[in-house]
Amino acid sequence: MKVVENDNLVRQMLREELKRCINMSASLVKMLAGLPKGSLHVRHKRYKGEKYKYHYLKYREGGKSISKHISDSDLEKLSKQLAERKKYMKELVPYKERIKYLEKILSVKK
Amino acid sequence: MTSRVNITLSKSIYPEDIEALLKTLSKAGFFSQGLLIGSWVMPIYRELYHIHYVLKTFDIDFAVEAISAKNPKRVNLEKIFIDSGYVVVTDYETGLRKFSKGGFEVEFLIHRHGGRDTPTKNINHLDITATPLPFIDILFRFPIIVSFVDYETRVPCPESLFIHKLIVAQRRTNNAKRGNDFDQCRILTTILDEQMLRKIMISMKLGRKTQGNIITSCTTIGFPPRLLGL
Repeated sequence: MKVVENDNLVRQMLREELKRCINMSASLVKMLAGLPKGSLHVRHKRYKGEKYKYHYLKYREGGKSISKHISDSDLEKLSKQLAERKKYMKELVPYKERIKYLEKILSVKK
Repeated sequence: MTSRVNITLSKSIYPEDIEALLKTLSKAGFFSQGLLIGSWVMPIYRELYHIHYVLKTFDIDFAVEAISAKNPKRVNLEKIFIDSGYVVVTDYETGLRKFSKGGFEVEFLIHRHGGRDTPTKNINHLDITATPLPFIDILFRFPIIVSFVDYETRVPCPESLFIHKLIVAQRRTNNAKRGNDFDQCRILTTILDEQMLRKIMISMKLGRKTQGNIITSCTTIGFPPRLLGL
């Protein structure tokens, strides 16, 4: 009887942990939605003997590759946001792995 | 009143990331107005009092003292967390700002007076938001300062944690958490100081309902309520 009781408690704790991970994962996804995606690239051009540098953001949307010109004034802010996005993406990984693991041991049907 | 316990350990009792966090918070002076609470206190009790409790969670909780001083010590915790590689995560349900790194979640709690009002409270001098919960003030009764080789942390004394758990266990809607509270209480009964228990009980004004909750919890774990003066 005691073993069954403990087993139930362990299952409830694992369910609680699953709920926490899902909640955290959803919050991280929401944070990511507010940040730009893609990568910054530089294009070098020559015009009338002068060298020019153009920064552009490359990302995919609806299966298409899009390049968007970034003005010098927006560059620093965008770089920071992209770095932040990378951090949030990295942070999402352990939660997703834990969700997958907990769903498996708790036999959660999707 | 705070008591000081010095433990010098050749080995670390915490995983690297958690120890780094505690060191950073200690250097920033956070523990003069906060406590490490939750399951991560247990490794300290294990070292100090030789209890056996192995369950640890992926959330690290800190309690913040409700300060009425006009000029409380300012610590920019959000900056400290970001500089330490944490990301700020706003809970989409409550609006609470948490910190996360490597799957570890850091959350702050503060004492709530009276009934439910807002799900979060801004702690401006620490640049964080905290969850207001009742009875957090108990944890600040006679806390212990634990000195490690190169940092200090502050945790509740076992007696205040025990009384806190006895009360909150009866308010839980989640059976697993209640079971966990009782497990911790049962383990703590082996190391409790009767005089300290009385001292804490005398220092508090508890309502009849709360006293009743304590007695019910005591009965569940087989602890005589008379040792608490009830």
